Amino acid sequence: MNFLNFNLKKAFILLIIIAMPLISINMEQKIVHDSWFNQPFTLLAQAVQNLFFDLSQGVRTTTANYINIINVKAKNKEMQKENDELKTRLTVFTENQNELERLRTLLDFQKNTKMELIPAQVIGRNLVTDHNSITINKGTSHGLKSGQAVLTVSGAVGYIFKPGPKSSHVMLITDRYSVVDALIQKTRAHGLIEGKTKESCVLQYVERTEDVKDGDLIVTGGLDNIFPKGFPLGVITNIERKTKSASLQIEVKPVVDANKVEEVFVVKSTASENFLYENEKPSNDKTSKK
Amino acid sequence: MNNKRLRFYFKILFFTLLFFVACGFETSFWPNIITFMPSPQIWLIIMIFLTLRWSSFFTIFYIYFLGFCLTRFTEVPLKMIWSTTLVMYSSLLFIKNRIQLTGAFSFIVLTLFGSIVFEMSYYYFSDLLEAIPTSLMLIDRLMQILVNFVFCYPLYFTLEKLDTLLFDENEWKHSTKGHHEAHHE
Repeated sequence: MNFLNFNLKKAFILLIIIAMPLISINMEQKIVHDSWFNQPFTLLAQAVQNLFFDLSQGVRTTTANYINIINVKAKNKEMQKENDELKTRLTVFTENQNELERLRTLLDFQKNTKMELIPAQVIGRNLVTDHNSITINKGTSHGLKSGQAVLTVSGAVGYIFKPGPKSSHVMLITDRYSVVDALIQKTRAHGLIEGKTKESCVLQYVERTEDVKDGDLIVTGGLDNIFPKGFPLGVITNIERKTKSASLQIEVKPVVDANKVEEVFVVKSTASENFLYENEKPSNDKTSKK
Repeated sequence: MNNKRLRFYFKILFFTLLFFVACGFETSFWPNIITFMPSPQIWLIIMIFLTLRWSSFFTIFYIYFLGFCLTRFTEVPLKMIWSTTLVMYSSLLFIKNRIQLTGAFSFIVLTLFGSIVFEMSYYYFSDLLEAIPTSLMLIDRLMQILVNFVFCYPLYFTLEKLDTLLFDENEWKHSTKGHHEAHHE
């Protein structure tokens, strides 16, 4: 019986439309692992991302070759042929050389550390400006788990946030949800690094009395059980001393520009690695490692 | 299963795959090639296109589904996607029949409007629903809106062509109208 004389069917559909976002808000209350329903979509997303990554690599190589060909057009035919060949070789050689150097550094790092590392390639960036994350080409099938540290040779990048079977999302230290235990290398004062913008973080809870200056290095504190102790995080760019606040507001620029990172390491196990200790006593520790 | 229904299902499947391809392009292709500017939010442009072209209750549920697919590419929570898309969908429906514009020009104006609504509602809902709300990032947001505005024009023709080619909206309306009338009778 429809006393109010309105379309019940339409009203019901409208109710569902409004209810769905409300249900999704409630769903966020408990952590649900990748269910069977999500998996095909995750796999499809990963396949598409891998495909586009390979395609972009191809485009980059082709563009580099094409630019070389345009550059030698003005020269004579014989020289042009030779030059073209040489330039193409040189580009490939330079690219290979750079890659070799980069990989050698990574390999040296992997060899000389006690940590169990998994090398990975960055295959994607985030869709919206509100979150800072990257996607890497390693997932749960490679032994990755949520909360594992991701770093490069020069410093910390972030940690595994959403691992999929073949790829994983990495939350960067600049993301507003990211919190990392940190230490000012010079004064040993502890604090927490929180993400702020795409290019900066904030170091919180450092006492006003601490002697900190612009340019001081911030390293990982190790208390969060994610990162090894003493690994570079960022450099202080600005210090704010508010009169009413008990702690300093310190702006930090990460040492790693996540937008330019191509290869990273995922820390499978830190094995009590302490970079802070190593920096102090380098000779003793290196012999023990080997 | 008749031919019309089959074509309709194929269209839905095609647009879902197109959505995945657009997301993959944005996350894994564009940032590797063009680093100096953000990629256009093709996923958002597709959602706006569907809102404007597919005028039925079905569209909002389909947009919710696309929103779920989007969470496979980003860490944006589902609650944020669904809340913002609902606001964007309602705003676009509200304004759609109140402006005297048609075709590509109408689409670029409404994409500009939709992008602004999306960014504003995201900022508002983040403050309301998230434990750590997002910051304003005015320049980044304005840049994103501008890039969407520039790229929606060529995308309109592609999407319109595909939309008409796969299953015409008028044909769809007629078939659903017939279906509804049959039900009422």
